[in-house]
Amino acid sequence: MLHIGRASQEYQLVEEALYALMGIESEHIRAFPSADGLVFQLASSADVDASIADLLGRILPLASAYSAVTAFVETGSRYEAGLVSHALCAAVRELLNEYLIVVAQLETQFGLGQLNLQKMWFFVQPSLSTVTALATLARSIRDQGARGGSLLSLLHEALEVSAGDSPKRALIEHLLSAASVPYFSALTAWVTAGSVVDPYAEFMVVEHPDMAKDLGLPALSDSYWSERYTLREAKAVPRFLAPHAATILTTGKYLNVIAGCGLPIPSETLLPAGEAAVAYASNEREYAKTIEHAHARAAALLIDVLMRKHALLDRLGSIKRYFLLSQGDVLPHFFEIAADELARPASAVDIEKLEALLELAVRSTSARGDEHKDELGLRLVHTSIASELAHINTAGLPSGSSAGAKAGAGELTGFEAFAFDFVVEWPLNLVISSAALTKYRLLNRHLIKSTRVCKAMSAAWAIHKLTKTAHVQAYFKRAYALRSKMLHFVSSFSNYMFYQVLEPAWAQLTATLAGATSLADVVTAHEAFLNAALKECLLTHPELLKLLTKLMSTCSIFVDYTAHLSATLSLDGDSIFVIPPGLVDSAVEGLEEEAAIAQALAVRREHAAAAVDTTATVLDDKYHRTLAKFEENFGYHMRLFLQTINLLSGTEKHLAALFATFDFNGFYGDALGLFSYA
Amino acid sequence: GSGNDGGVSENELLRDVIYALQGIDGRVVAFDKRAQAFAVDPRARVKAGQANLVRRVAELGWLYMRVKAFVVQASAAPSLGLVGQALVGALQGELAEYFKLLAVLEAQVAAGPGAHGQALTLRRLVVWVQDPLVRMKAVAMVADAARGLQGGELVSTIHAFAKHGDPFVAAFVESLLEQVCVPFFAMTSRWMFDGELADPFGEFFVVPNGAASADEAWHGKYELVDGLVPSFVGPDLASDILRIGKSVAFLRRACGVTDFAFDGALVGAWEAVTYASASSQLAGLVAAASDAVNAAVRSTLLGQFKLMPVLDICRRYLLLGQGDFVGYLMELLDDELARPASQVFRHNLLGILETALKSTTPIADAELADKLDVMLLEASPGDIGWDVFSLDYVFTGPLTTIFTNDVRAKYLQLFSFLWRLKRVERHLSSTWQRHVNSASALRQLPELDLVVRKCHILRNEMAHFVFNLQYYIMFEIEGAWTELVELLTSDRTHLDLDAIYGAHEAYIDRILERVLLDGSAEELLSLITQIFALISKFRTTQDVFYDSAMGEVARRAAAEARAYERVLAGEWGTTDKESDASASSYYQLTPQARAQLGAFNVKYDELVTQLIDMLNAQSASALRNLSFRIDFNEFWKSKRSSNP
Repeated sequence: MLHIGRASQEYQLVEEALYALMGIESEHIRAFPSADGLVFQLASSADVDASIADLLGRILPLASAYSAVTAFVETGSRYEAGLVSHALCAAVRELLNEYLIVVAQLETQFGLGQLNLQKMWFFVQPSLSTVTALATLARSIRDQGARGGSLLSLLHEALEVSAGDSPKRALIEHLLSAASVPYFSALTAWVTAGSVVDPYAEFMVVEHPDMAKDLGLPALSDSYWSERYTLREAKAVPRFLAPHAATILTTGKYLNVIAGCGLPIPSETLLPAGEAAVAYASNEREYAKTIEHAHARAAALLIDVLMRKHALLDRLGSIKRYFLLSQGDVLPHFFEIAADELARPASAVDIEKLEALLELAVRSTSARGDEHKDELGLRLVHTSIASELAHINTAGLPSGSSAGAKAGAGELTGFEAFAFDFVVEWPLNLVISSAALTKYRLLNRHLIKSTRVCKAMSAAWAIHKLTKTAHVQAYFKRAYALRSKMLHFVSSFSNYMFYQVLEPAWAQLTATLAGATSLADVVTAHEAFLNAALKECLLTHPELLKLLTKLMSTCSIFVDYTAHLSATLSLDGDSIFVIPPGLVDSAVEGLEEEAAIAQALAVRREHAAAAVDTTATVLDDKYHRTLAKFEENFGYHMRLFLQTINLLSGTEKHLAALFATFDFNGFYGDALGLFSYA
Repeated sequence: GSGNDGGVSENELLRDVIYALQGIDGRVVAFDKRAQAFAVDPRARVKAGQANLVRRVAELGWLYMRVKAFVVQASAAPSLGLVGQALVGALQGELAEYFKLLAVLEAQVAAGPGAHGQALTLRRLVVWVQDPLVRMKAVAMVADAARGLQGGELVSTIHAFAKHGDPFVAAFVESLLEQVCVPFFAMTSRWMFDGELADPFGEFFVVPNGAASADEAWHGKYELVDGLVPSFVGPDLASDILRIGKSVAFLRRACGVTDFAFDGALVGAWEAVTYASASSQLAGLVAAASDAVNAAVRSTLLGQFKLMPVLDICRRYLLLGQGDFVGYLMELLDDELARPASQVFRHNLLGILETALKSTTPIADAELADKLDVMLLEASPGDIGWDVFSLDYVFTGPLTTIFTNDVRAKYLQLFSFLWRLKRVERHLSSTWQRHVNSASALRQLPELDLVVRKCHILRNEMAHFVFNLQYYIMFEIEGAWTELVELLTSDRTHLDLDAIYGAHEAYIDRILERVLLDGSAEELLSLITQIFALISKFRTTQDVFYDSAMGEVARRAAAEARAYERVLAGEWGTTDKESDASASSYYQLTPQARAQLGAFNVKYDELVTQLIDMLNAQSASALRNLSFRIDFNEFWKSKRSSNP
């Protein structure tokens, strides 16, 4: 172009530059495709004055930037780019239109002959900063593949790093507030209605619709709470919402629980009065407050549903009644009528029959007035308490694997395997989850076990009582003493569990629940209750549990032995404690009933005396050896048990209380010499 | 404008571009079919930049052509449909707006350059067309997607485009939907409020099923076409809407309720529904309409058409719940039904039915009682009256919607089973009567003691079985009935006709299932049938045996009397020839009967043991309960384990 004059060169190049600024290629200013869009350059063939080329070289990057931004808007407006990108592109397009107007104005100047490159450079200055800023943003969005939440994060970051550059800051803030509109409207829908409106998978909360149905199934519902709605990966959550992500998630989840109960959600009440939506604001506190408000409101609504509509406390009361044996008469009655069935090995027990019997037991005891009695069921757990404990692995519970992993020798009986079960329907199973029920069952079996040993000890006492009338008490004195130690042990331990552990913990739970303001509070309090109950009933300390089991089984073996002994001390196969049946028959036929019994008793005494005479000498030696073994065994484990408790009681308050229960009169303390050091 | 150096002037180019924007070829700018774009004639002397700019702007012309082509094509299609018409109308409106813009631009071009110094240039035109370009892109996109679609499907397709984050695009698509949905809402309200389809092009998601018979006025006449449900309505609301229209049609046509109308406020609110307000109001309005029509249907059925009393009659008579009636009816029918099936006549039976109805607990509503009917089933060879007799009920009017032929067949099936059970029970009680009546007489035949006792025990076992089976069935019927009554009489507005029908069907199906008639437990049923047959055979055999034994008693008495006479006459008091002859038949018969009874005993044990085993293997707990019931003391269990 050197053949024409410098002025002509400039005139022509200004005209061409005006094309370039609109993204149009012309004769000398050529466009080369690049990753971002078109790059405008002066054609090398166009020989132009060096200073003009230089000046043009400063202006043309604006043309390239405009082309890059146009390309960005083009791809970013496609459906698959997502709502955030659409909104951003719409805002950018507005800015580009303004830019085009500037170019058109330049053209007018040019038409009036008032435009040269120098002036042009001057006039495009404001546009240059805007468009290049947009191009830079566009590039980083493209490079990072940012969409949805991450796109907002990126804009937010850009905003933070441009705090000092106020026009740029204003620009980005404008873009951010435009781009966040769809995101915040999704957010509003979520925190006010619990619905996920997210056609392009951008929102921070992901719905898993395959988890939608069968709310009633207990197996599903535990995971329903944790898996139906989840947060998208951290990258997809807008940076400025990240601190509130958990709050946002639970707010909508609470609302969904309410909707899942078939209740309407009062969406309009979830936002603070006078606000129609959660909206982006440069001041984080504004939307944070709105979100907090929605969260608190949703939590309160849900608590109301749980406590009032579904009477959580009531239901927990029912569970306590059965699982923690606070309703005295159901279980004994049930065990009585189902004794034959429960005495079998657990695998041979007819569950249907047990269920029928349980129903009978419930209906014929004071529990028949319980409105939740139909939800009561039963279950046979075929593993020992210790090994089941090994299976649950909850935070706050030390794993009991060391003690429990070893499966108990032989199969459990129905009595040992028996535990209550309870149908907990939605939404109460969010609190009384299947994990919680497992813990309840453990406590249930533990309590049943100690109650049964307690009862058996009382039976031993009854047997001993009979021997007193049979002139053999001298012979049994040593056994009386051991029996009374054992009875003290089992009944103290039972009392400790019921009155020092469960009742106070229960009282505390109900008090906490009454003041709970969110589901999380309720769940935490309930879990804390269960964990404390498990721990304080010694279920979580493997060593103590082992000793406890040992002591209990020693007691029950002793009871068996006592019964066996009493059977041995008999004549002709008729126990001395049982009136020979033939005698009664003959007596009743001939005499008045009372007289018959009196006679029967007299005969029995004779028999008993004879029995002692004949068998005592034979048994004497063996009997004393066995008894000594029992004494030693029980004493040894008791000492070990108490020592361990004492050792741990420094840090564990409940163990100190337990120790005091056992050792109310200082008997064991003296015997162990525990306090001699003090 | 730029200086003109002998080439095409900017104004000329502008004029051509304005043409191009209307899809018309100009002097230098023409549509290149191969490239599917407008381009400047390469021979024309146009600067490269200008030519490129023209091409850029003319993209709008190409988009316009696409939309125009769609509008022309769609308008000509005979199957366009109402929704399509609305779309074409809306698009034509868009194009009119577009032409308005072009007219303005053209005026500026015509005014020529330099008129005000602010004349239109190509670059200015670029600024002007930015917004129309975005809009026309959206229009073209919709037009492309809408090709060949109709009705609800078309609405759904356009609705998919509304999910755009660009407020400009979203607003445009929504304004389009606003217009497109008008005919759809009109069809919907016509259907919901009048139960009529106003759908000449088959666009609505409810379609009539031409093949459905008059009997299926409710159940098969209208169907939902999933593909035609607009996506913003969704399947749940669609089926509610289907049901509302059906209910209205049912009320007006089947029930003859002429004065049913929806609340004016509801109709008004519905008529004001637009696409924009649909998302917030549709569900509520449908629910309100649904509640209103359901309540009307329910109160019509329960009130005017006495559904509950009819159901009660079905339970008491068709399911034999009314004990005194059944007993008396059987007694009255005894002779009549003992005849071969071909000699049993319905009119005789109707008379007997009437007698039985009159002399037992009456049905409160005489009008309903009149509809109890007798039906004779098709007889197989050898059938007697008992086999073909059935009670029936004549359902009329809208009740046929609840008591469809299917449901009636189920009632008949149940009746026939229960009737047979009752008959077996009667057999057993007649054997017992026989036993009691002849007990003292039979003491004279001490050699029969053992057999008689065995008979007695077997009868008791059978009675235990029949009694418990009956108890079980009655318990199941009562349980199902209580649930049904509770459901139908609860004041839940959600109870629509489908739910009422469904509840009743579930009730009858549950009974069928529990009574093992639902085809899922054929082996069990066949065992029970065998036990029934055995009981009948046992009764006949015992009758023969007792007849013979009583004959023998009579013979002995007679012989004795004769011997006594002879003694009185001074002869030897020995037996005579005549009685010896009949005695021989007795002595022949007794071991035969004994053997037969023994065989029955073995067979019965076998069948019951098998039955209990099979019941225990069932997963349904009700059936296992039946097994507990029959084997309450584990008698059969111990029996089985003692001889495996």
